[in-house]
Amino acid sequence: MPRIVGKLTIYNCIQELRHDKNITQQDLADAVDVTRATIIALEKGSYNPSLELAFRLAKFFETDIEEIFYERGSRRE
Amino acid sequence: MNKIIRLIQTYLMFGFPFVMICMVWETIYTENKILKDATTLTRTLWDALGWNLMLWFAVLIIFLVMLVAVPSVREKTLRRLANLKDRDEREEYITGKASRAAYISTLSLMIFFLFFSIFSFNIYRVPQTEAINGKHLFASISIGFNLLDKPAVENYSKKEVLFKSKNFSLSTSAIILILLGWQLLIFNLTARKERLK
Repeated sequence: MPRIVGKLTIYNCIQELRHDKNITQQDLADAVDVTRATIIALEKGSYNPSLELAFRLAKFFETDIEEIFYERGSRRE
Repeated sequence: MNKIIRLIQTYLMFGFPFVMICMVWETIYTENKILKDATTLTRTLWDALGWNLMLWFAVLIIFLVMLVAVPSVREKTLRRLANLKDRDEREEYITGKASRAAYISTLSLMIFFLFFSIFSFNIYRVPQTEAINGKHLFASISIGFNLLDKPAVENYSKKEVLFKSKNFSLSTSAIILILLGWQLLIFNLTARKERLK
């Protein structure tokens, strides 16, 4: 059984998706029920969301979680 | 219950200035001076302030007991003092990190205080008649734990104590105040650091 050890660096494209939708950070924060500071932290990559918030973001952007969150080099095109 | 708590909090907050006025008035002029040749208005005002002082302290005691015993009161009252913000999951995460840091650092501070309270270091000088091998300057290190503070025991030895570490022991209220301040400081500093990440 493979062991996955060490810290995984997770990237996201929330900022791009938000720009595509043409909405503000506050709009997105209100939509997924978090504060604007959380959206800023997510876009900066300084905070990894919970699975629940990740699902909420995916639902909001009408896409899969893997389309939003990915490891470097593993993003689906 | 909520209404009662709000009423108590409001009374404690707005009654405090009158408690201070009463205390300052009593400190500047003694009660005898205030009541001597006092007009009816002064006497009434003094009586009202005195009753307020007694009631305020009684309410304060009830409030402090509620703070310890009732979790909802604790949550509502101390949330602002502790600067807790749990509006979303990230803030809960920050609170968790800051609580951990505050807990660990307070634990280390308490271990230090415990060591400081049981450790004793003394330097003393004995008279020439009690000198051992011509030496009359001594240092002693000891560790002792007592569950209760013992009354000071008269020392019949003629030795002159030059330095005694127990002379620098902090009072109970000072230790509690330091722990309180330390916990608030570490919690807020860590939370701030996490928020700015």
